Amino acid sequence: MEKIYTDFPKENLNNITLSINEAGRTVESIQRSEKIGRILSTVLTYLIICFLALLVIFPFYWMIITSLKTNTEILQDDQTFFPTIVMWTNYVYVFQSFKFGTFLLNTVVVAFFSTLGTIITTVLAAYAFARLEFKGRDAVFMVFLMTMMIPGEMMVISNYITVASFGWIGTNQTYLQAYLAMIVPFIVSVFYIYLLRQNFKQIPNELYLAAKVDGKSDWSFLWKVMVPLAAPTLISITILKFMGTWNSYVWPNLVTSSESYRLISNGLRGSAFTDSESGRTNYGYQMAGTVLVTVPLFLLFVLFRKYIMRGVGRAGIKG
Amino acid sequence: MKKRSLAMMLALVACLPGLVGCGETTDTRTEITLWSITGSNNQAQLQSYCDGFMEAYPQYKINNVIQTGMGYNELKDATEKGFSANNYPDLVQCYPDHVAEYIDYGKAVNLDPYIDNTEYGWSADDKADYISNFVDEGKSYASEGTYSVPYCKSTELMFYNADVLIGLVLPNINGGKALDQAYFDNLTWEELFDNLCPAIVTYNDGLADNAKILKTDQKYHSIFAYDSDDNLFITLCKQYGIPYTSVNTATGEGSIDFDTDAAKEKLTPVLTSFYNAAKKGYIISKGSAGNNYTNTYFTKQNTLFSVGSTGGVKYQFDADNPMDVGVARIPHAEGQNPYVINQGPSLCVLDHGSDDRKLGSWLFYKFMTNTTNALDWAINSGYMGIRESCYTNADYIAANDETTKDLKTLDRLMARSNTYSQKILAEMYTSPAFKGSSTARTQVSGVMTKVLTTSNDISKLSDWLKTAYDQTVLAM
Amino acid sequence: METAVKKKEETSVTAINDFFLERPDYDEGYDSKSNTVIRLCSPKKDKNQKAYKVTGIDDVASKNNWKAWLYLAPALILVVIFLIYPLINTIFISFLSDYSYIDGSYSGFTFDNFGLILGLTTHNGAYESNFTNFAIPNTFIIVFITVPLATLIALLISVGLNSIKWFQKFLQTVFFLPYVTNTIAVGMVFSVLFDQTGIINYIFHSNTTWIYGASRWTAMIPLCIYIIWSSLPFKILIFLSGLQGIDKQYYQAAKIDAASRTKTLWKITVPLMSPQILYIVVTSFIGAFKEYTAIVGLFNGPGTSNGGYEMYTIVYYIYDNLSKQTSFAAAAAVFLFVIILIFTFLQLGVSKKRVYY
Repeated sequence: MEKIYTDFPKENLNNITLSINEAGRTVESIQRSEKIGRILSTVLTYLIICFLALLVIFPFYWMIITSLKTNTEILQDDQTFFPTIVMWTNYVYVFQSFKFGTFLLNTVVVAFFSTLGTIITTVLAAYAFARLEFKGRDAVFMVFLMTMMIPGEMMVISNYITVASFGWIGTNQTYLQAYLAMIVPFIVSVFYIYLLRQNFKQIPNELYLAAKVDGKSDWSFLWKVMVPLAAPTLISITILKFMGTWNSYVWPNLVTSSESYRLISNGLRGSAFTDSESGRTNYGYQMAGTVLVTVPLFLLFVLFRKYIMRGVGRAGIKG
Repeated sequence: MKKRSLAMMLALVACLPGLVGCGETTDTRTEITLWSITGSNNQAQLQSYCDGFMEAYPQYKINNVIQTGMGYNELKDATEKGFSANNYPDLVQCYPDHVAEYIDYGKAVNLDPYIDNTEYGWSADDKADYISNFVDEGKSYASEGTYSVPYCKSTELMFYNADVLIGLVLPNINGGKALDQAYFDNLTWEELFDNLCPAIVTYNDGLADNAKILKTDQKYHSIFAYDSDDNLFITLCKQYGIPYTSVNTATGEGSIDFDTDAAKEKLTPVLTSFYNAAKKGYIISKGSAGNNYTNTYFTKQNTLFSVGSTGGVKYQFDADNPMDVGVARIPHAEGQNPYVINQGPSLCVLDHGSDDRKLGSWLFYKFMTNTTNALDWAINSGYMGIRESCYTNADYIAANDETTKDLKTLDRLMARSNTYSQKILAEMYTSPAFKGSSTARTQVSGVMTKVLTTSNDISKLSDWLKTAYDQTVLAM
Repeated sequence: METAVKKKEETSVTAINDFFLERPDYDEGYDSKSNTVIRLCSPKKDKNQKAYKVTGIDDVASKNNWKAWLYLAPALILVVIFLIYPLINTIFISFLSDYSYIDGSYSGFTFDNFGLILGLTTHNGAYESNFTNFAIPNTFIIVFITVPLATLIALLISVGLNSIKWFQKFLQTVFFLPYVTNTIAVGMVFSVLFDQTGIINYIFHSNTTWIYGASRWTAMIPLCIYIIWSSLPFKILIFLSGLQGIDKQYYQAAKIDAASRTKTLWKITVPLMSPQILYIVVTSFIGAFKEYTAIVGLFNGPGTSNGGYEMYTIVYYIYDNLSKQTSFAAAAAVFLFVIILIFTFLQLGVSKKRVYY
């Protein structure tokens, strides 16, 4: 027999639960079993997430303790969970070996202008692909996508010759030329254009049409409406691009003719800690170097995290 | 937010020309650029040679670029990419394989005209003083002439656990006498595997567990360890007279010979004996020891012999476990002359079309390696002296006198090693370098690893050689 | 949708008022049925004196907006110089024999480069068997195992991260860690973890050789785990951003309908996130086909032992031959390009039906 309960408390109006009566069930018991179910699934979620988080953190833990070990301890057969002697001197050595100040300055300048260039070109291009209609739009987008399908290594040689033909490489390279050589080839990233385009396409038509009818131009719609709505994605792109510049190493080494133009990853990667005579790497120093390069990036992410993860509702639509 | 970021951007852009503007002076000196990967402990020395040269020859300016963050292969890559953009140096630190490629691109300068020049070349005394084996390496290319000159030389030595081995009496070994330096100096592979190793094993088995001379607590252990698989293969070929590679200077073509029937006929018994030795636990290499450097096992007494580079002596000693480490030449083939490989980067002069720069580069090299500087380098850099006079110099002898150093220290080992290496100067050899020789080296390294990996089947040796040959010619 | 009404005139107040009399619950806004936009354009708010404007859609968005090219120009110029020109150059080089990048010299036009990498022709008498035996199969294995798994895991983690309340910020940050650092350094760490005497074997009480000296299939496992591990952060970041943008109304409606969590996930979350999922799938496929640094980081060489080629991938081959034999590398790059292009087309084709914007 069906019975519909209407005697639920007024406070729970937002959680209206209609239930079909089975023998012995009341609203309270159903609510309780649901609550238990919710708690169980939350606990399970937490357990799984925490377990996976541990898996994610563990290699970093290992990296840090490796950076604090002596080289012999790293290479020995029995791996230790904690260094027998904590070698803070590894960090001291790495710090002293490099002109951190110069590299840091170069990296900040290059990263700033790269990111600025990327944001501008990405916003404009993604808008064109997502919102504006023009002949050949899909074809051009496909061509852009195609450039992602060739491995970067093959591009290096062509780009090197191109950059050289602009006169940016050479033995008498100036700061400006070095920066240009490092920044310009990588301003555009189809990767990010595609990402922003997806985001732009999710912004509903109604907003656009409403603005259009109000007589607003495409340009003001882009900067006043779309960019603020896509802010989390844009901030993600900013951070990712900044990180990319920070970690880049092969290209800057190639196009700079003097060490004082290079970026912070120079020397903290690759063969910096390899003894050139015997070909051996001191892993303690290398890990210390990697940690030193990684930490600022990580802090940056923590700082900007809330801007990325901020929930943005699809407000602004009426009716 | 837009206005603020715009202002910031403008401010930064305004600063840039300022950075550009500084450092512009009119300099009429000819600029010579040197690219090297000099380690931090040798950088000051190198700079002092540059400064000394600029004083002695004020018409030149040396641009000493230390390429940190690069290995030798990356340095070669950067140089070659630089060929296409006129961004390459006048002098570059290089390995013979790299020089072979520079010759191929027409950028390496033949230094014979400079060496033989009466005014600024090498005098007769100089020619006698530079160690001929080192200089010959600069002539072993696909074109006639001298294309590289010695700079950072090293070779391989056999380091052994003198604490354990010297004075040890083993039946039927060394004519019943205790083991001594002379025995190790004359050690052959056959004596090592057929007699010495079995005797050591028997002796070791008879000892109590806590008194064993050969420990087995590490993952890999053996009696003899050879760090470099490729050097082992190539050196064996040289020692046993087996063809490895050759080059035809008339055509400039290299040829890969280790896969020919003649080579295989000689190679098979030699490599099979090594395989058997590995199976009995007598020998490991880096490749067969999980790609771990074998000296880590030597310093923990899990091997008694360790062959390594003279540039890496410090790895054969562990301050936590100090031993008296003996030094001897590496084993050779029975009935044949001893040979040991010639290693280490050299310098190569690259062509910019300017005779002035080429001359300047040559003069700089000459200055860097004159008797004073070469001696200085030999004593302090950790590399071998490239002039005979270094070794007879009183300062050098004093610096490398092991009796002035404490027993069981690294200093003593280094002194011992430096003193010993002059004994084998005449036994060093070089393989020819040509396009594909570096691939050949990598491939035979793989073959040697396979030979020493006991889980493999040695009857497949022919296949391994064929694969190595194929991969090498694909790169030529 | 029907085509738009093509009216763009201010009509009289009475006509407009008639219009609204017929639609009592209507005020201003976009009417999808007639595809028109109604806007209040009179300053007077008094209902009897309001003037409305009726506009058709076609006038609002022109079909051939040449100004779009201006927007595209900055990106387009740079793309043409630094991306398209090298792409065309690569294709051109793949048909040249003995190309040398130092001076741009070559000895002729040929199809042999492709023949060589596909094992059909020889060079100096030798066949390149490593490309067909190892590089191609390994690349495909990596793609088809890591991309679906990583995407699924990232999706579940993102949904989980989005639903928890405590430590949410901390955990979200933790999952981003692998992105921040250098592949090769962490690869070295992984190779230690998976070492025969390493932690993994310790935990699972096994003695398997995972890295050095392992068989190709055993070694695939740590490789895939590593690749998935390092690709998670980016995916999670994108998915989380996408999740944040989903209107809570949908979930409330689902709750009212008493939908289970799984149903909510598949019927609401996934479709609403389909643009992000498509983006991740397309770009992850492309990235996985180009995988190379993970191999170097984990194995320090193309094989599981010195001299082996068991873990070769297509891009590793390209990297190996870039300076030695540029023609071969270019041919391999073009081969890869065609494969990726085909798969991307397939994915975009499927997406037309499954992706909702």
